[in-house]
Amino acid sequence: MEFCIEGISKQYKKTVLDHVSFSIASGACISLVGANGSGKSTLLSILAGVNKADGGSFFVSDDVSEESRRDLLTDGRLRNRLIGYVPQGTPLIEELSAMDNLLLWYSRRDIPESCENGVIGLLGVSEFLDVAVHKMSGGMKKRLSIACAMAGNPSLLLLDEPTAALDLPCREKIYGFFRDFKANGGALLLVTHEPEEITLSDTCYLLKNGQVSVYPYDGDVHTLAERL
Amino acid sequence: MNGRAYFHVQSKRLRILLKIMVPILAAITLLVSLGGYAAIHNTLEQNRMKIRVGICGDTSTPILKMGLSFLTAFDDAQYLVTLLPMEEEDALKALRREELSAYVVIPDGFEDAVNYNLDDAPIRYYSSRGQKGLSSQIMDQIAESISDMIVESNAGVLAYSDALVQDGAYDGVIVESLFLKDMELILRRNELLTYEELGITRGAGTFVYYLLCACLFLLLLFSLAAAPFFYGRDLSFERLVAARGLSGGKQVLLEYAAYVRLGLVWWIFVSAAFGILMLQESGGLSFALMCLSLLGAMLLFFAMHLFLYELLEGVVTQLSGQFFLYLMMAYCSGYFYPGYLLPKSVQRLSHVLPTGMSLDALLDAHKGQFPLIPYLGMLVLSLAFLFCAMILRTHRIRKGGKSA
Repeated sequence: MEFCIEGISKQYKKTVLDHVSFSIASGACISLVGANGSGKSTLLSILAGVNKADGGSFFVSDDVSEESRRDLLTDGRLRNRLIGYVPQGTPLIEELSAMDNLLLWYSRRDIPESCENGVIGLLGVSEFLDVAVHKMSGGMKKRLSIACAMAGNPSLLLLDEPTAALDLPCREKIYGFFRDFKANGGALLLVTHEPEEITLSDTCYLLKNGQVSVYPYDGDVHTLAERL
Repeated sequence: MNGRAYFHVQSKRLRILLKIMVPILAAITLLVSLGGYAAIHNTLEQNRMKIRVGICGDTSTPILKMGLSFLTAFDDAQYLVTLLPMEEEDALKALRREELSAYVVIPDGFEDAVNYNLDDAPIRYYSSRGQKGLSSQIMDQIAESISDMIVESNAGVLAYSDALVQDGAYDGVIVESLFLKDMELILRRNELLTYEELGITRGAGTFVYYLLCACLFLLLLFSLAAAPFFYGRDLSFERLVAARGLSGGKQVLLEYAAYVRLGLVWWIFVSAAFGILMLQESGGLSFALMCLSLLGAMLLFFAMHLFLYELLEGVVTQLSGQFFLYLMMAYCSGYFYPGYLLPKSVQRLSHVLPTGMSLDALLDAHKGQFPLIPYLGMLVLSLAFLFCAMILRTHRIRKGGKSA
């Protein structure tokens, strides 16, 4: 299975995305880098169905599946089934516990199963199910956000700066989950400013002036910063 | 994303936030109640100053003619009271239109009843509870007129007894028995005037009027108590929910439903209080219509709260902006003073404001009339507020922007 992004365009006062095209194969991790305001989050929000594109398409290329060539930008039901999205910030309800937040996305009977063998357990969220979100650390919140996005076992996970402002142990836990997800055939698209996450990805794309190009990241942050 | 789950989560948020909202609401209720109490007492004082009284019935008899000219030309009452002769039916309509403060009905045969020391034709006096000052004024004047008549009748008794003594009668017995008879009649005649409250301020008495205004004002300020519910939202959460199939518009509707569910609890309490305070006075139909109007007002105000929280950015702007807006709307709609004291242009504006429409509905309901026009207005405004809130939320989710 491959997720293909073809010619996605978006214009506000200026052109933010200009016929952006690339693809993400199952089991791959793509990182998307770019300067602030370059359109990375806009692209992710379009792929997640939050924002509307002015043009282009987003589909699953799969010869055996019936879903092949159905546009995910317009087919909300298919998109919800195949794609998980973790936006910037804390997409959680602060007053409620982790359990209550999970209940928004999971059915009550799925949670114990996921705590034992699924993603809730893998991310370590089962350790703080009764803690209210406003009492959680940044890392706990981020792990809970990812657990929420993983409801329904999506095939592609879109993450907008998933480890921004987190400490090292937290990052490691999240990166461990990414590796597991990839190993099980899941695809990842990370919008990031973190060199560590770029290293984690199989391919790095640079978004500049509304267009994407492959950036062969070799660990040289200074060169990358100059290219942005 | 399941809409039902979203609704339950929002309801649960409200339940958790109740421990913050209830003390704020209690403080607001206390302040509004104190304000209402002060307003009622202030109005009672003011109503002693400006009085237009309708005089109904036959005033052509010599005593009444003299009494009225005394009241309007010679007595100090001329500075307090304007007497307007009119038919009883017209007077009632004028009272409803707030053109009169009260009216007095002088029944046929009133003068004969006075002359013959009878109680069968009392003057009837109609006004609102807020016009008791007027009542005492009028009663003082009438008592004065009557005491004049009594002095004259006593003078008559003395003159008659003198005449009898001159004719050789034993004066002590005659004078004593005549005075006793006179006093007995005076003591029996204690019902020359009856007093009945009909309402003045758009058909409602002062107490009822300010009670309704206080309820509506409290409902307006409910949004300040509910600030944690609206302020605790996060744009990234809204975006995630939207990405999973629950659009901004649906989110607004489900949050509104959860918010209204809390409002229904408030409505039940206030309706019960209305029942205790007004059911006997207003009657069943009027009470039912008032409860329905209050429900309509709650739905409208809650839609407006939701809209304003979507529209305004920043917690200071959201709270202070709403507070001053609500104060202005309440003032224009006559929540602090009866509407007829405000300029005509403001009165006209009031009828298209959510605050004014709600008050119109409640006052019509209090009179037992079905408030069709205010209900339609409230429905249209509620839908407009919700629609605008949905547009704003959808726009914010798409463009990114402020978190609530």
